[in-house]
Amino acid sequence: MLSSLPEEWKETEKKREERALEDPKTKEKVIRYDRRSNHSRPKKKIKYFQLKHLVDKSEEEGQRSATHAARAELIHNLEEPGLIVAENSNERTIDLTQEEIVGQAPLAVATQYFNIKLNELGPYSINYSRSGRQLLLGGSKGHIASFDWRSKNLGCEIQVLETTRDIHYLHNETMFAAAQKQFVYIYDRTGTELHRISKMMSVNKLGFLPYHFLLVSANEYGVLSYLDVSIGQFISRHYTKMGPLRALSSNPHNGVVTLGHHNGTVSMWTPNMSKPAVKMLCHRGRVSDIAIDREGRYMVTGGFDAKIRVWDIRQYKPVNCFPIASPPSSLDISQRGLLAFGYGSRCEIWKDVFSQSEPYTPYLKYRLSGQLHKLQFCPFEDCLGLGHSNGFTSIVVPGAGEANIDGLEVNPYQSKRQRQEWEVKALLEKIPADLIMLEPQNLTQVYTGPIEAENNAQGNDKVKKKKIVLKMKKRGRSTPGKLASRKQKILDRRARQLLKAKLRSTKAKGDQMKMEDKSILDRFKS
Amino acid sequence: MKIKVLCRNPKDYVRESSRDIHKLPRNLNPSMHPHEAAREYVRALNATKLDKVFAKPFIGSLSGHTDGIHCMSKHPKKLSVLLSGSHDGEIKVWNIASRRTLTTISAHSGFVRGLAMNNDGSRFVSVGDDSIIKLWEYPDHSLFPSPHQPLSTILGSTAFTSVDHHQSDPIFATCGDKVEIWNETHSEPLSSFTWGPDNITHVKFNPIQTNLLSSCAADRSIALYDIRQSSPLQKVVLSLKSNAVAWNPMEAFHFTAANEDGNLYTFDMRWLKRPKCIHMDHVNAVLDVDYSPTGQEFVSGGFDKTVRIFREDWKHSREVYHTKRMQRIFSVRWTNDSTYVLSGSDDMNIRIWKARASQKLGKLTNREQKSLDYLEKLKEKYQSHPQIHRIARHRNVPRTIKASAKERREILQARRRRRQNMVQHSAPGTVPKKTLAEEKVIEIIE
Repeated sequence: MLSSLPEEWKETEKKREERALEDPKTKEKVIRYDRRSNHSRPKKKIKYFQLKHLVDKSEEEGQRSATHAARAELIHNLEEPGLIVAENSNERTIDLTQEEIVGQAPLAVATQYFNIKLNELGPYSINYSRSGRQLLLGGSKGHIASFDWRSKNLGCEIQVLETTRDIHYLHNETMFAAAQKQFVYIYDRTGTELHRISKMMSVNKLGFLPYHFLLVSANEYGVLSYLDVSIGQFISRHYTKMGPLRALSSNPHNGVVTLGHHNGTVSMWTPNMSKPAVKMLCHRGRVSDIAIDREGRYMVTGGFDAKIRVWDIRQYKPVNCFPIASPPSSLDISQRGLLAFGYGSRCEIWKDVFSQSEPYTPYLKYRLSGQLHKLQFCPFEDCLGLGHSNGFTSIVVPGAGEANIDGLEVNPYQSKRQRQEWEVKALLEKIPADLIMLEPQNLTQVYTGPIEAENNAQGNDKVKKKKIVLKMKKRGRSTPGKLASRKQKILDRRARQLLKAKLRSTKAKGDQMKMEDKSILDRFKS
Repeated sequence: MKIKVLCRNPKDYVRESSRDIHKLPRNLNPSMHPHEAAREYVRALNATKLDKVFAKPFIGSLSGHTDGIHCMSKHPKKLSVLLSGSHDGEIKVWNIASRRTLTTISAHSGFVRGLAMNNDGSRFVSVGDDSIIKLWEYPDHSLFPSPHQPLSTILGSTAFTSVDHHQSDPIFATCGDKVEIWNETHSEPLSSFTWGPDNITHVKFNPIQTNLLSSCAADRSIALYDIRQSSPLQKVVLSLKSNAVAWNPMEAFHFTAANEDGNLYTFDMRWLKRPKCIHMDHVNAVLDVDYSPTGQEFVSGGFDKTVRIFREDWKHSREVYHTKRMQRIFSVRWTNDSTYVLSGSDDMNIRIWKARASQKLGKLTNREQKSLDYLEKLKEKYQSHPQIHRIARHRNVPRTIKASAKERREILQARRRRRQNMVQHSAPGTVPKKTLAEEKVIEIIE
C-alpha cells in the first residue's frame, strides 16, 4: 500500500520544509517571517555544550516557524491586493479618473467613491476607526458625525457649538475624542459626552496609541500630554518649548510620538523622557505634516518649503526628496506603502517613494471641490478619505489597503460579542507606557553597553540617584559643616568611580578587537 | 488598463448561522503585529501573577497514625497506594485518591525505621528498632487479610536503621552497624559490608545501575557499594553527616544527599571531588529527599518544617511549602505520575501537595493546554526580567525561617569576605584557591 503512494507524501516534515525552501519564492517569503535577526548569535564559539544545544535548538525552531508561516500563506491569504497595470506604454495611471476606475471594478466598489457635501461647517477633519468600518467627521465649526461609511448608517451627529480642531477614535468605534476650543472631550458612539479633559487645553492635534491605551495631544502652547484612557490618568506631560504644535504623528511600530515644529525640525518623544529622544532638521520652514509607515522604517514629512521628504528613521538619513507646487496640508501612508498628500484643492498619490530611484510622477491624482484639510487612507480597503472645506470625499485607490485581515488583531467583521471580548483581552494586555522606546526589540536582547548608560539607553531618565544617608555622630562631629564635608567625600568617591568606569570603557573601545572575544559579563569586572 | 480593486465578500468572513463558530482570518505578517516583544512581556508578566493567584498547593492530608511518620514507600505499579511506617511500630497502607486507610498493621515494637517495596509490588519489607526484618505480602486485590501476618521474619543482632529493595531481583539491603544484602527467600544475609566501626543510617539502591548501592553513615560519609563485589567502592566525607540519599532516576551517576547542615549536595559519582551543585535553602537539617520520575527535580523536607522543591541543577529552591501545623518532616516522596508530592511529619499526618503549586488538575481541553504551553514558554523567555523574576521568586515563609535564612546568608557572606581578605593580605599564591563546594568535601576514601 505504502509503495503505491507518491514519493512526496512519504516525505518527513523536515524534508518537506527543506524542499519548500528550494523554491526562491518561498525563500523570499521566509525572510519576511524570520525573526532570528533580532537575536543575532554571538560571534564567539559557545563552549558549554548544554548552552550550545539550547541555542542551536532555538535557531532551528525559529527557522521552522518562519517556514511554516511562509507556507501557511497559501491557506491564510484569502484576498489579493488591488493593482493597476498599464497594458501598453502609452497608458499612464495618472490619467485615470475615478469614474474609469469604478467602472472597471466590481459593483460593490462603487460604494467607496462618494462625496458628502457639507459646505457650511467645514473644513472637516476626518478619522477612520482602526478596523476601517467607521468614519468620524469633525467640522471646524463644531459639527461632529460618526457613521458606517459603507452602509452610510449614521451612528451619531452632534453640534458642539464651538471650534473643533481635531477628532480621533479611541481603541475602537465606541468612543472618540474631540479637541475643541478649550478642552478635549470624549464622546461615546451615540454622541453623549463622557468626559471633559480640562487638563488638555487648546489642543491642536490628537493621536492614539492603541496598544498602550494612550491618548496623545499636542497643544498650542507646546505641551505634549499622554493620557491613559483605560484608567483616566495622565502618564506624562512634556513641555517641548518649541512653539505651537501643529503636526503630530505616532510611529505604529514602536509607539514613539513624532512632532513637527515651526523651525523645520521634527522631534521624537517617549513618555519616559522629558527631552526628545531624537531631533532632526527636516525642512527649511514649518513642518506641515508627518506620516510614518506601519513598519516604522520610513517617515515622510511635508514642509512649508514646498517639499516632500522621505527619511529612513532607523538610520535617520534622507532617502528621497521631491518638490511640489505648494506646501502640503496633509500626508498619509497607506498600509501597503502608497503616499498620499494634498495641497489646495489637489490630492496626489505616489507609489514607491521609499526606494531611492526617482518616482517623479504620481500614481493617481484627484481634484477636490474645496480646500483639502485632512486626508487618511482607510485601513484594509483600497480607499482614501479626504476632508475638505466643502465636506468629505472618498476616492478609490487600488493597491492601498492590506488585503488580508488578522482576526486576532483588528477584525472589521467582528460581531458585538467578539468586540467585547477583544476589548477585555486588549485591556489585560495593555503595554505599560514605560516600554515605549525607539527599539522595541531591545526588550528581548541582552544589553551589552557600559552599565552606567544602561538606564539612558532604555529611554528612561527617571531613575533616582542613590540618596546619601549620613550617620549622626556625637560630640560636635555632626555639625552642619562636618556633615557637608562628609557628604562631599561620598560625592567625590562616586565621581571618581564614574571616572574610572569611563576610562575603562574608553580603553575597552580602543581595544575593540579584543572585546569581541570577551564575554558580555566582563563589564561587571572591576 | 487592467484595474483590480480590493473587494471582499462578507460571507467569507462572517459565520453563516449563530450555530457556527466564528471565522478567524489570519495574517502572520510581522508588520500586522506591532509591539511583539512588549506584548509578549505583558503576557508573561500577567501569567506569572496569575500563577501566584492560583497557587493552592495543599490538597489534603492522610491522618490516622497515632505517632509521627518515619518512613514511606510508593507502590511501583499502583499510583494511589502508599505505605507509611510510624514511630509506634505501625504500618499503614493508604489509598491516596480516596484518602482512606486500606489496612493497619502492628509490625514492630518501637520505630518502623524502613519500608521498601519490591519491583512488581507483590511484597514489601519493613525493618524496625526491634532488630527485626519482616517480609510482607501485598495482595493483588487490595483486600488485606486480617490479621495480616508476615511471610517471613528475620531476627537481627542489632537495630536496623533503613532498608531498600533491589530494582529487579528479589534482593534487599538493610543497614545498622553494617550494610547487609539479603535474599527474600533466605534468613541469612548474602553478604555484608563494613567500613570501620560505625553506625550506618541509610541505604539506597541505584534504580538504573541496579547493583549499585549507596549508604550514609554517622562518620559523615556517603559510601558507594557494588553488591557483586565483596568490598565497598568509594566513600566521600562531608563536613557534616548526611541523612538520606536519592539517586537520579534518569542520570545513573547522579545522586543527591540530604545533609545535616541544611544543604543538599548533588554529586556525580565519577567526580566526587566536589559536588555538582549545592542546594542551599533549608535552614536546618534536611532529613529526606526524593527525585521526581523525570529526574529534573527533587523534593526535600527536614527539621525546619518546610518541604522544598529544587531543580537538579539549581542552587535555590523553586518552591517552598509549609503550614502552621506541620511539624518536622521525616519523609518525603514524589509520586510516580510526577504530579504530587507527599510529606510525612512528626504531627502524625501525611500531607499531599501539588508538585506545581498553580497547576490545574484534571483533564484540560486542547485549547486550554495550548494556551498554558504558550504562557509557559513566554514565562521562560522573559524570566530574567527584573519584575517577572521578583514576582516568580517571592514566597512568604514563617518569620523564624526568614530570620535564620538571613543569618545563614550573612554567615556565607562573611566567609567570602574573610577569604578575600586573606587572599588580599597574603603573598600571592600562598592561600590556596578553594570554592565553597570544594571546602565542603573533607576527603575521599577509595
